[in-house]
Formats: sequence, C-alpha cells, structure tokens
Amino acid sequence: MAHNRVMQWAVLARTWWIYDANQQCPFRSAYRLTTYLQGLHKPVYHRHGDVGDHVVVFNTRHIAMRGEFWRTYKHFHHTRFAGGFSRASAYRVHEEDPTRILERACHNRLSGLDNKRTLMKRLHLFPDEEIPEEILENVTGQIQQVQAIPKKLEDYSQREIDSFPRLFKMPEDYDIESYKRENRLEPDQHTSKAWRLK
Amino acid sequence: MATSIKAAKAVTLKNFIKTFTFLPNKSRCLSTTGITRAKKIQVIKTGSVTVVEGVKLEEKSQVVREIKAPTGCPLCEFQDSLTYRDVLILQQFLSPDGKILPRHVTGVCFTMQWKLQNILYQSYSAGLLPKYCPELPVNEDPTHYLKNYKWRKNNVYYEDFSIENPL
Repeated sequence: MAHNRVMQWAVLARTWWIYDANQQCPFRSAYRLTTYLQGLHKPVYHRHGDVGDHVVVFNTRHIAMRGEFWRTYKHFHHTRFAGGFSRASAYRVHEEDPTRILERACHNRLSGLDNKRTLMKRLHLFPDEEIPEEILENVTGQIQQVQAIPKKLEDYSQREIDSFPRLFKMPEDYDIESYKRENRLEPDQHTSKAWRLK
Repeated sequence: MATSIKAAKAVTLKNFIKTFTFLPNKSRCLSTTGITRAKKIQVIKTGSVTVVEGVKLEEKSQVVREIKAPTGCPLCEFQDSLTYRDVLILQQFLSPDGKILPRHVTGVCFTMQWKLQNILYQSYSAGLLPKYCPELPVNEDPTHYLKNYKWRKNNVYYEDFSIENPL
C-alpha cells in the first residue's frame, strides 16, 4: 500500500516541532521535549537508531519556576583548577542568558546518553517570539504545553467579577477603608525600609 | 441600643460613657422602614410633558452563596479545592487597598484564615492579583526598592497541595 510507504517516510524523516515556553516549568517541559529529541514518541525508537526530531522553543525568557526556585536553585561550575568552583542562582543565570536554564534542564535530562551532544544540537531555543524564517518554515507540528496558563484578575472584566457569587455577606456598618493608612509626608520610621513596599 | 452595648466589651471609661451618651444618628430613627432612603432623580421627557420622579435606588444585586459547612465558615467547603488560581474567590476577602479582611467580617474560621493567608501570598507573588503598593512618601526614591529582589520580576508558579501549600 502506498499509504504505508508514506507513513514510513514520515516516521523516518526528521520532523520539526514547535513549543511555546511561556509560563511553563523548565524541568517539566524538559521531560516532554527530550522525548521528541530522542524519538521516544515513535514506534520504531531504538537507542542507536538516529530517529530523533528537531524541537524549536520560543518565549524561553518567560518561563515560570516553582516557588522560591528563582532564588534557591543554583547552577554549579568547576574549572578543575584550584579554587575554580563557582555557582549562580537561577535568576542570575537567566539575566545573562534567557535560554540557559531550559538548555541545562534538557541537558541534564539527557544525561547518560552517548548521543547527547547531537541531540542537543537539534534543540533550537529562542528567548522571544522572533524566530528566523529558515527555521520556522520547516515546522510541521506543535508540542502541547505542560501547564495551563493561569488567568489574572486584570484579565477578567468588571462585569464578570461582579456577577461571580459572593461567599459571605459584608456587614453594612463595617467600613472597609478604616485600616487605610494615610500617605504621610515623612516616611514611616517604625518599619524597615525594605518592608515598606511589597 | 443592644448592639452598642454589645460592642463595648472592654470596660474602659470611654466605652462606659458611650453607652449612656447620645446614640449615633443611624439608630436614633424610630421608623420601621429601611434606614437608607436613597433615591435617584429621574427626568423623563415625552413631548411637552416632563416627568420628574424619585426612583428608589436598589442595592447591588449580589448573589450570596449559602454556607453549607457546619462551622459557618464560607471557605471550609473548599479546603480541598481552593488554589491560588481562583482569583475571583480570593479577591472577595481583600479590602480595596489589598489588606486581608478580619475574621469577624468575613466569618472565616481560624484554620482557613491561616490557609487563606498562604494562598493569597502565592497568588500575589505569582502576579495574579494586582500590586497593592501604597503611595510613596515624599523624598523617597522608588528605584531604591526596585533594585532589590531582582528575582521577583520572573514568572512563578506554585504546586497545589504540596509542602509550600499545606492544605
């Protein structure tokens, strides 16, 4: 059947996938991206068969990390010289190179594989939405995002907020703005400066 | 009368005098109808006839949900499902300047108030709630605050029902 022949071409051809990393966890998305890089999603997968695909990732600048991880998650490096150890927090690495965290996450995920370097060459990372047309014209498929993007309060209209049922009834004689602090001319001396805002 | 006595729980001189002095205007009226008789003037022109009418102002028709929990707490029913992404629920427990409303107003039980604080913090730091910053005092440089906490401008998410969120 001619149909089977085309299906075989599609399996063995190197297809290109696109992935939107906006508001996505880098470690969870690395888990999904590396399956496409290795070709694990294909029925003909073999470790030594070179059946992996290309993956194009954009919006890596806008990835989301869990909880306090921007501050606490560290990247380590050692030059093998004496005193050559260095480490940097995730947010500092992200300032330097906004594609670095997702790249290292995929790199670590592929640890123990001989063809790790060739697989990493098929991962194309872009910090923003700008992708060169040479790469974008190859893309034929989209990878589903790992997390749903939460909706902000600003995204809701005022009508939607008002029509949402209240959970409790506000007492009529309570003044909501009774605790409001006036904007004093001199700064508040009792709280430290770091905690006065935020 | 009964409410004003109930409010003065602490026996201070100020509260003691309050019970016997003149009551506020609100409770002085003896009418059985509603205290606030706010009306809105409506002018309707039909040809040569103009009708000026005082229409009774109706309060905002907000649907208040029935509380089914035996504790009387509005959040107890949702303690296994409330997350930081439910902004429409969380914003009801905030005053317009971003402060958490006290328990005697909202009727939230002690444990759910404690959990609500954690969830509100998560929702705020994930950027789902607006930034309730007070206005800066005079002679304060806003750049001083912005240069610290550089990691806060990045996106953050939270794991539901995990160690960070012990519900």
